[in-house]
Amino acid sequence: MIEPLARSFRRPGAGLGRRLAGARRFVGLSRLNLLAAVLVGLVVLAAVFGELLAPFPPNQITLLDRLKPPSSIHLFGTDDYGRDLLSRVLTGARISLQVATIVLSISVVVGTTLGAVAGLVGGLVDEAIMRVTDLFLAFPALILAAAIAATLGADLSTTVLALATVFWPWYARLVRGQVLSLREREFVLAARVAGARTSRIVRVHLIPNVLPFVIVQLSLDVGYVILSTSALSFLGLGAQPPTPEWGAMLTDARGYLRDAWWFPTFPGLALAFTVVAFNLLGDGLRDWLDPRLRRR
Amino acid sequence: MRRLLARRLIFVVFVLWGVTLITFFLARVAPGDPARLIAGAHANAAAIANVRALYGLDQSLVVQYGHYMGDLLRGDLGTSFVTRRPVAADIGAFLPATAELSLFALLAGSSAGIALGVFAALRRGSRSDTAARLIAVASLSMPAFWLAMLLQLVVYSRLGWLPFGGRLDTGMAPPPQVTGFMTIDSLLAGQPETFVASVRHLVLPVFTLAMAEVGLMARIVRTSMLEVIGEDYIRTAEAKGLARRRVVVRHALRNALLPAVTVLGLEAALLAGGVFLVETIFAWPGIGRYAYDAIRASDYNAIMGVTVVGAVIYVAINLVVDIAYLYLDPRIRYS
Amino acid sequence: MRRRWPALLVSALFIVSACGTGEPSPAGSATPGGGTPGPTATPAVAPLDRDPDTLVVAVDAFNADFDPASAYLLSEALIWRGIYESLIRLKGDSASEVEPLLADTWEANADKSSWTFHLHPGVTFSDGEPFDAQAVKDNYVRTIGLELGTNFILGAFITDPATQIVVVDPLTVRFDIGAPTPHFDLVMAAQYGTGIVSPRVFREHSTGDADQGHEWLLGNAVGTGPYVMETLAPGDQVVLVQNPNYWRGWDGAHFKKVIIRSIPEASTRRQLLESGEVDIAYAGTPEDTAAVRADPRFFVGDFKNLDLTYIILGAYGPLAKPEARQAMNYLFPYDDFLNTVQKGTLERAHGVFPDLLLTQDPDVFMYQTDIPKAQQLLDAAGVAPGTELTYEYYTGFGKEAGLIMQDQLAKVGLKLKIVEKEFSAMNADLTTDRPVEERASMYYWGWWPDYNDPSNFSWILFHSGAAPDACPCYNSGYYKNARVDEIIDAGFTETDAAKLAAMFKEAQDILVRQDPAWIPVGQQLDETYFRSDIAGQVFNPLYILTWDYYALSRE
Repeated sequence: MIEPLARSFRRPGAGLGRRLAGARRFVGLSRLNLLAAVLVGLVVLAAVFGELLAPFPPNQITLLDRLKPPSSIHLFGTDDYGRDLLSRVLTGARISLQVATIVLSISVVVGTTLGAVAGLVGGLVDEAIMRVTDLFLAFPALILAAAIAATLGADLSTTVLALATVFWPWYARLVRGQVLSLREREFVLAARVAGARTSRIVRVHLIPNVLPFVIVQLSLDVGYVILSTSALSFLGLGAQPPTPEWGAMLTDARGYLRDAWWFPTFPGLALAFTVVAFNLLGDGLRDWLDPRLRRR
Repeated sequence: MRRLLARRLIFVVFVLWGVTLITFFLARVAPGDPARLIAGAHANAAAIANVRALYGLDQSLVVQYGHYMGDLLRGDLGTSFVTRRPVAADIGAFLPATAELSLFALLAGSSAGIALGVFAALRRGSRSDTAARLIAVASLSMPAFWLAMLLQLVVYSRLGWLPFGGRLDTGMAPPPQVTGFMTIDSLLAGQPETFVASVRHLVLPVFTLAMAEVGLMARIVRTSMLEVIGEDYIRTAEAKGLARRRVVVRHALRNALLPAVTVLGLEAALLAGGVFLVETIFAWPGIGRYAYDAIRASDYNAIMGVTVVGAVIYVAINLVVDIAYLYLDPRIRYS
Repeated sequence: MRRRWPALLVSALFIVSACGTGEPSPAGSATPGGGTPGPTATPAVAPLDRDPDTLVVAVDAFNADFDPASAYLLSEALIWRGIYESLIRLKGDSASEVEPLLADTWEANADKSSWTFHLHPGVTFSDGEPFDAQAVKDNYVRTIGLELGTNFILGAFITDPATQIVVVDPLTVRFDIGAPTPHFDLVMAAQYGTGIVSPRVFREHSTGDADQGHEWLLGNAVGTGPYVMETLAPGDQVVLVQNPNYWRGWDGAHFKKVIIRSIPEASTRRQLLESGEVDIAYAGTPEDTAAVRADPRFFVGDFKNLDLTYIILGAYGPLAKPEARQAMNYLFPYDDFLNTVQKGTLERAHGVFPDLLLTQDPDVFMYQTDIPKAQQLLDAAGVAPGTELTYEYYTGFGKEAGLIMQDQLAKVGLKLKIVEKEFSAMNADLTTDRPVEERASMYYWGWWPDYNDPSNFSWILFHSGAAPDACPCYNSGYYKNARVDEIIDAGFTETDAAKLAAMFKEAQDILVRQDPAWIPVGQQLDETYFRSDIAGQVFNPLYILTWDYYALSRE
């Protein structure tokens, strides 16, 4: 009853037709998946085209227009410097996705490599890598990020570094676990017996089977990275003014919930919206890709 | 099994030591001069030098580290520059407050989350499943401070149902400290009024923190339930004719809880970020605020203390989780 | 039903809260200035369902340091102002007149180089120890000698306290300063560094000569004042109760208990005030202040104090030339900033001296925003377009001004990099000597003097001996002007008031117009929120953001 896992997935290099079919199947699996796809699509569009579509320059200060409620000119109202909130929120999408992309790229590369090495080589190397991973995991993330920000100066780039340091261990663990369980699978053993080189085994058998899990984790982590970035900005350790990062906007807006509700609400909604979108995507992907969750 | 435990313990020590080393040097390398801060803005050079000497900040980093580790092993975490009290005393005062908050939030959120997750898993693919998943995701995506401020505005200011924050009513004397939990201590001391007040003060902050818990637990439980439901031994039990519910409760849930329990351990660390915001808005005298103030003031000893204690807790929880794993999963136990 | 409940809940919360808070505050209105008053008759006092004899104060944070030799933060003073007393204090709302406190009368000799204080008889500390001249001497010898932070205030005049402070008899103490010191009374009335602790503490709780009770005093206080500390819960609350043996007695209306709570979030403090749970609250955002001011149940003082807010201009790098710094002064949009961003919570500064400082010049030169002129000056100074300047501030104080300046500088082709730092890090930046490349061009900061004296105020901010390369002081712009130095030095001993005024008029003209040291931004206004039924508050411009609890009562 144990099917080679590799057959359950599309092989790398599959044709476009197969890919589209896969996507359609994903969307058709559940209404939530459709919702996820649409929401993520919107966020990505906002990130890519937002600044072009923005009606005003996001950092343009017009003190006389400060804290104006939503109107036809300012759809989201203005903030405490008279800057158009809609433009800032749209620019914020780009910033958040940029940060998430960089942080997760670093995390995936570093984490996956270390995890794979640990899983494949085993022994003392495995132990060493795992202890280092444990060390980073045991570190209260907030303190680590704050310390890095304090040392290198608070800035978005420092945030990126700090968050990459916090997130990579998860990928190391994930990949190592998968590699460990795959190592003993029959098709891998069979390949070894057949004389295949390690690099081929990695390429043909391991990567396609680990990839889905990494992808799922990635989509879930986008939400966490964005939330963490905004938390750090909230604490004054991240984006510097006038950068329209959502968390930084929420910090400024905090005291205005009563007198200018639009100011904290729209960035907050954008944040929640984006996190929801990516979480739904991750959930849907997991339901779809994880063979253990397959319908029988 | 004992060898396994022994190895885990050794690595625990290694991890903790690594944490102290990194934090120590990271904190001191960061710009900011606590001696200047303590001495005050108008102090002259002599005063600053005196303060620096008072706190041992004029010695080399390595020497300072040596002193610190020596004290640490004796249980002395140094003195906080900000509160001027021993850090151990500070943590002893603030940690139980956060622990009380986090534990209740964890309990409330987890129960609701597990229920939601089971519900969703059993109805996979149905509209109820979709709804439950949406609720789960929405609850963990909401910015905590936003919810906190909204609740405060509405439930306190407008409706007057619950207090604004703090642990007890203004001027109310706390019960004699046994655990540091207002709820438990007031019960132990036989003070029903204090107990009621402490519960009322807990509602809003716990609700805010629990929201994220619900979503996380629901998702994890649902996923692991689905995995387990597909497993052979479940199908065997079903084939034998056992009622679905019994199957779920007896077999699936127990095994599904394993990864959930693992995550619970990891949650402790993640909670730290959200807790600070909630503590600030609800004026809760907890360790989140203490840690943040320490970072802002370059209060080295406090930063170290919080980090070390945090790491110890994290590691302890994981150790407990590992042990629980060993007992819950028969496959591992007998391997 | 179930599927939508979180969204519904949140929307419901929104609608309910957005419908205003039920009282006649301009909820939701964003227009500057006041909002519309309430439509219906409102009660003149907020509800009070707690003990009326207890005063509850909400501050953002308090700190524990009850040692007058080291306590220098207002977050500490706000507690011990009710516990410790000095020999004399500033009278009412004046920054230049004094009145008796622990000393009934005092006099100086002919050339004001020796001051004698006659102490009030029969005063005891709250631990029973008698208050006398020896106690005064013991205290000041310790404060000046321990050198833990506040020593400079008295220590600038009394360098050898053991000899210079003389116990004439148990109720008379004399300070032999040795040089003419016309304003020594103002020095003795300073808020910091003059408090008197029971000497029994120094004897019984000392861990050594460098301590003399310091560590014990970080969590305990024993003074002659009206209140004693009952409980201290750091980060949470402090409870003060009446000192039954207080020497001025308890006739009349006084609070029996004072509870000070730490509430970090401004919006929470406002809610507590409006619900009647606190009597006094630190101010929040300018919008909060406008709303509370418009509410007849509360009172906002708008009282001007001696705290000045400014932007330090670094006299190095791109702003080395006076013309460049003059240009910066022409760039700042004073009216816009003060009216729209600060919404009247800050008053325009007049020159680099606070309005209430002795010798303040009413005709000091005032800049008006003039962008073309700024451009001219920048060209004259040789500042190339595209030059990048740096602006540094600490979290919660100064971001607005930075953003405004960034915008303004863009109009003359310059770039401004804004850097936010932790308070402690910025404090270190301001007082540590660094090479030019590592310094910011502008720092947002504030200052108030220990006592009302122009030399005291100016030395630490403008004297070349107070630049970070000379001492860890706050002339962070490395401002070095020989004539200003001369005037400051001479001012310490100048007894003729008219001459002093003339000297500092000249100094200020240099500091403001000829060779600017700063962009003076604003005079801080004390906008603490009070319930309307609290009486007796007297704002003193030097006893900043602290209150005389003994004088307060509830109507």
